Amino acid sequence: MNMNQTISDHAVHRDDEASKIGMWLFLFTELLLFGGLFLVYTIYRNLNPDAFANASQELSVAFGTINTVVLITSSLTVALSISTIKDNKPKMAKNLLWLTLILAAVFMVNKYFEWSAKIHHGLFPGMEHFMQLPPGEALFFFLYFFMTGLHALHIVAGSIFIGVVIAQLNKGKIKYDDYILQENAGLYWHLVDVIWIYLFPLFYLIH
Amino acid sequence: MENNHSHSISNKTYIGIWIGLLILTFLSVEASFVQFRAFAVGVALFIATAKAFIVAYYFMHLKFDSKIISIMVLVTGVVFLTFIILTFFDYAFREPIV
Repeated sequence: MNMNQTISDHAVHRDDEASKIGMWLFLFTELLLFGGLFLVYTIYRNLNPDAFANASQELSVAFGTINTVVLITSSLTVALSISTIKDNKPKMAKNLLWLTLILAAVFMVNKYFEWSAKIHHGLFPGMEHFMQLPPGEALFFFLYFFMTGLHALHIVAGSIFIGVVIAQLNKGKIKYDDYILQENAGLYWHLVDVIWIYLFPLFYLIH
Repeated sequence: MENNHSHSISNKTYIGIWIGLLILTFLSVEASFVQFRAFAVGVALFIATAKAFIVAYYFMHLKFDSKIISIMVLVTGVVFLTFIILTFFDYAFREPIV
């Protein structure tokens, strides 16, 4: 009867937990997307152990390690920004998110140099050197470009998500008692970090 | 409703977790130069999984959020592991590919 009235008297309906569960459900689909690729990697590596070890020598452990450190640090800044907004310090929260975006840019610049060097050596699928590689090594580089490329795409998507969060913080729409969007952006960013945590040893650390 | 403010992690703890993750990263790089061929993949995946667990438990707040989310993560993990194990059974009992 006067149900409508009661509802409109209330603030906008919010269910932060449902929102978070929704985000996690989306993350599961991401996990299985990369999971399928990890499965392909594992099978082919098992069938071509020596070729994978040889091909992996081409990758720079130093570059991979630096990017791992960069991503782990960016995960820290995101986590800190969420605890900062809870403490009602939106300015600090924003700065920490900007720092995250800078770290994301550092990651992408490293990736650019890394890929450029490989492409310069003709290792991108379809290039002459790639076509002459033994099948196992070609598979390694195919998976390397595909999986790190897909991961880099996720870095871009995560950066856009964080950009949206910064804009909402600017408008005051995210605040100390309403920050679920920021938490969800954080969850996405951490997932991208977790995927890299597996990509790093599987591609760079086979000797 | 109680907000989970009181349950959140202090900044100091976050930085400690970050240092722990960095140590694990360098450990896994160092381990890769030691020649224990047979265990190399196992060691790398063990360290990676430890790192992923730390990120999920602390950074992704599984420790503080409703248990239902942890259960969902566990179920997804089991589903994924099942896929891997079943696929490996297939390859283990197949005629070798020429």
